[in-house]
Amino acid sequence: MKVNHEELRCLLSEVFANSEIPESIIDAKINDIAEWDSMGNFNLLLSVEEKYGIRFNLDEMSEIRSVPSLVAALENK
Amino acid sequence: MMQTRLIVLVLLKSNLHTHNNAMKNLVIGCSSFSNPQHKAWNHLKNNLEVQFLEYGNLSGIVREDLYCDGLVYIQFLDDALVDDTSESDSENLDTYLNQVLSLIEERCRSSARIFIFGFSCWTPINVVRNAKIISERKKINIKFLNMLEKTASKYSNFYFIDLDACFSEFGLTKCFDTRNWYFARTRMSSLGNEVIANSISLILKRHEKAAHKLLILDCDNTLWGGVIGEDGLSGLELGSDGVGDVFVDFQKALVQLKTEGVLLALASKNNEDDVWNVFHNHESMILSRSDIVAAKINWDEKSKNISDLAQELDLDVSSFVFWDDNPIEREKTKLLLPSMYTVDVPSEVWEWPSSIKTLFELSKFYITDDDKEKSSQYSARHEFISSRKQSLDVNSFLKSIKLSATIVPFGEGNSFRAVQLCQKTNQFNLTTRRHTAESLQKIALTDSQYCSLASLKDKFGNHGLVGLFCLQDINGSDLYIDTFLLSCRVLGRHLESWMMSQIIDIARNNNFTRLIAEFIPSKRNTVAERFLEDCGFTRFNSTTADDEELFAGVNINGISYFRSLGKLSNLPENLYES
Repeated sequence: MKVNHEELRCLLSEVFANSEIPESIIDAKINDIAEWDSMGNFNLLLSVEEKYGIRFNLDEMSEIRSVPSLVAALENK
Repeated sequence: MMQTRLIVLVLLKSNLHTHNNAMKNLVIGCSSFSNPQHKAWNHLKNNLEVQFLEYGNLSGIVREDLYCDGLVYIQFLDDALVDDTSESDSENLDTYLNQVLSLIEERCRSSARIFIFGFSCWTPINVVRNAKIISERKKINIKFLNMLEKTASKYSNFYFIDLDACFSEFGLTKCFDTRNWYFARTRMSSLGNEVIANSISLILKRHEKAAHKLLILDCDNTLWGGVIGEDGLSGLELGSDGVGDVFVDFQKALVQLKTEGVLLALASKNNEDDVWNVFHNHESMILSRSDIVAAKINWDEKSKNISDLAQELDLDVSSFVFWDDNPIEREKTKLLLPSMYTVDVPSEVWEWPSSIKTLFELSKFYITDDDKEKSSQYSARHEFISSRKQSLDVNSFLKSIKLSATIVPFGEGNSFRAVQLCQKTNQFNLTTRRHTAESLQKIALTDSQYCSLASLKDKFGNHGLVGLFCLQDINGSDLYIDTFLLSCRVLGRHLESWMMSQIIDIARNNNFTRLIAEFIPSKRNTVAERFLEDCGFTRFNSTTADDEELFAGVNINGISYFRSLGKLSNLPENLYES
């Protein structure tokens, strides 16, 4: 699956609605954004699943903790 | 001396009315992780300050320092099945659930604020294992729901949610997510979380605001298929097979709503005779003309008809729901009567029966005896208003209709109705205090006469319990009217004066020297504005030194009045038969 960074940025700003989202999120990772803690990460992944109609397995849930790893996982789906 | 008096008054008030303020914050607890950051909670967070309890801590709901306007607790049976309790161990589970229930009841007793308890029992079904026996889970589920129902009938501030029933609407397997359980100790999928949050918000909404009162229906292509003016009686689709059956079921649902106290009215662009012809002569009609409280059948704009109807029934259009198959009519009423609820009617007719049955705007927590009588009471009232219009002298007209009222003390049999009156009466309501069963009970305990309802009869029918007042002894010489209200459907019969004369009698018989009353202006109660003065009350005048002392440092909500209980009667003419 091809991923659009602008789309992802939109999703990040929805999930972390009370935080400032950087202009470029290409390298963003957990704890870079105030609300992006481990629970924030969990909810981000739930939102990604819903948006793209995919499902992550348990390993992916614990390994995806940054935009690059998320993009890589999505490209595999 | 005067000052202490009023301070006592304020203390009494604050004891009883702490729950009156609009809800600001909500605490949510759950037996497993509730995922507080999940977006499903956002719409609750938008209206309220939401806090989440540490999960798995049910005893947190009875903590003394837990301060909140509303409390929610979600319990999954699976979270009770820890270590040494298995689901076949019914004795242990019983003990556990009894503990849960006693904590719930402890909370209900210690706080009059709203408390919602959600319960889920679900586990994937095994058809074979449940082909000869009912599973323990199912038994526990039913048993526990019964226990919750009992608790809910005992405490007016307590509600429960049968979560599995809510989930099943969307598919139980879609609402749960075991991966999330192993990853984050939350049992829910995103959908499951949405279902829980929505259920909570529906209950909160209904708790805060009563259901709509009246359903206005179109006729052609709404009560029957086809247009009576064009297709004629025999050309209508009603009864027989297919879509004709749908209209029959839709009408059955309407009759059911009527028995639950929803008033039915018609707004139709038609020749009036044509419509009544269907009502009287079509053999498949379920609705009868007597089910309809009022009708506007003409060629005028519906918004005008509906406004007129509201005026005739003395109801506000904001308590109306409008159902019309025609999207253009709906767009018009949405624009011209925005406070009315115009239903987005499903385009497929076969969805109508279930759609009207589940409509939130017309859903109530429970049906009182009075609800069952409501429709005939309003019909009588409509008749009353039309015959009063024809009569020249109002008082002699009122004398001719054999008004008769009685006082009924607050008690178990009428507590639902009493609470309903407090929650729903906006117009003739001096203080608009939204009492609960507990706060009314508290008042009734001081003296059974101090919390009383008024029941009214006249030649147009028995109107049931339509008035309520609450009194408080302030200091042995002043009696305070905490609440005084009258259902709007019996306005214009001077029942308020009769009720006031009953209060004066109570005060005199108990050797009080003064009545103290208050008018708290709200958006809707101007109709009661002059009532106290009409009954011989005098406004406390804050410009005199005496009264300044009286009100020093005291927070009076509204405009205060007093009335001595001397001989002077000063009441409007009594029109009631004794």
